[in-house]
Order: sequence, then C-alpha cells, then structure tokens
Amino acid sequence: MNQDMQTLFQIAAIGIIVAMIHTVLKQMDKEDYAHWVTLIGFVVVLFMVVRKLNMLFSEIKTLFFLQ
Amino acid sequence: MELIHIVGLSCVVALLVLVLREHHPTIAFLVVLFAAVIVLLLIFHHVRDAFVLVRALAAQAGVDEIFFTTMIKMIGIAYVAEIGAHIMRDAQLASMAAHIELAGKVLLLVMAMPILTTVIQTIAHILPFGAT
Repeated sequence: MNQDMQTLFQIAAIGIIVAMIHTVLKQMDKEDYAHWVTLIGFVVVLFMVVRKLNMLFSEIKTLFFLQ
Repeated sequence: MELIHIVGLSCVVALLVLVLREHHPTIAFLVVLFAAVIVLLLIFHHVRDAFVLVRALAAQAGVDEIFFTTMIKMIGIAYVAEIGAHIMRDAQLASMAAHIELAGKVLLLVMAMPILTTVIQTIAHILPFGAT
C-alpha cells in the first residue's frame, strides 16, 4: 500500500515535471526536444503502470481460474 | 479499515488528475489506471477469502466441482469486462467500452454452453414425450 502510494506520487510528479520541461523548452524554441522529453516521460510512466497491470492480471488469472 | 484508505486514495487521485489533466492528459489517464489497479489489488485479497467460504459451502452442498469452477470463471470474465469497459470510458472511448462489454457477454455465453447443454438434456429426459 505504502509502496503503491509512493509510485502513484512518482507518476504524478513525473507528469508535472515533464509538463514544466516541455513549457521551458518550448519557450526556448526547441520544439523537437520538447516532444522527445514528453515521449520519454510517457514511456517511463507507461512502464510503471504496465508492471502493476501485469500483477493485477496475474492475480485475476489465479483467483478466477482463468488458465 | 480499508475503505477509508481507498476513499482517501481516490480523493488524492482526483486532485492529482485535476492538476495533471490540463498539461498532460495521457499521464493523467495513466494515473487513473494505476489507482484503479491499486484499488483492485487491495480488494482481491478479500474476494479470495469469500471464494474460500463459497467453495466450502458448495462442497458441503455437493455441487459438482466443474460447475463451481465454471461459475467462478464466469464471475471473473464479468469482472474483467467491467473493469476494461470502465477504463475505456475513463479514456472517453465509449464505443470501445461497448465492444468490450459485447465481447464479455459473448464469452460468458460460450462458457455457459456446457452447463446449458446439461440443463437441456436433463429437461429432455424429464419430459414424457419420447425425447431421449
């Protein structure tokens, strides 16, 4: 539970920081870098969520006898 | 008291999503997804306890193990379809949610087919006019 909350706040913090970096880079006329930063932040968050989702699905599979 | 944890977590998630949505809708959606997964993982421990009880009751009542397992599987499919449909609705994909629900219904029907066949055969045996 504690670990999960920590990960949740990490995800939100990554989102906010990426948005900030995006804004700053846009102000500096570096649109392409801004897009890369957004993409990388998204992929990092996606990895965290997918790992947890995998845990949920394996739990469901064992709980409901779905193979 | 786990419910207080869950309600508090949802309040925090709502706040975070409201902050994030203006800048970054995709990450806001991922936050919602992660919170949903956490809540479901918290709840499934209790579901397991409930299933142990129901299994014991079914064994006492002499219910066939295959029927019981099929029933649990059907409950699981219904749960998963519901979860997927709600997540799709969160992402504002109502048509995808409808497709998931349809797929869940069809899979439930397919899974219930052997039981349905058994019921129909039993009725055919009971009926007096000739259907063997």
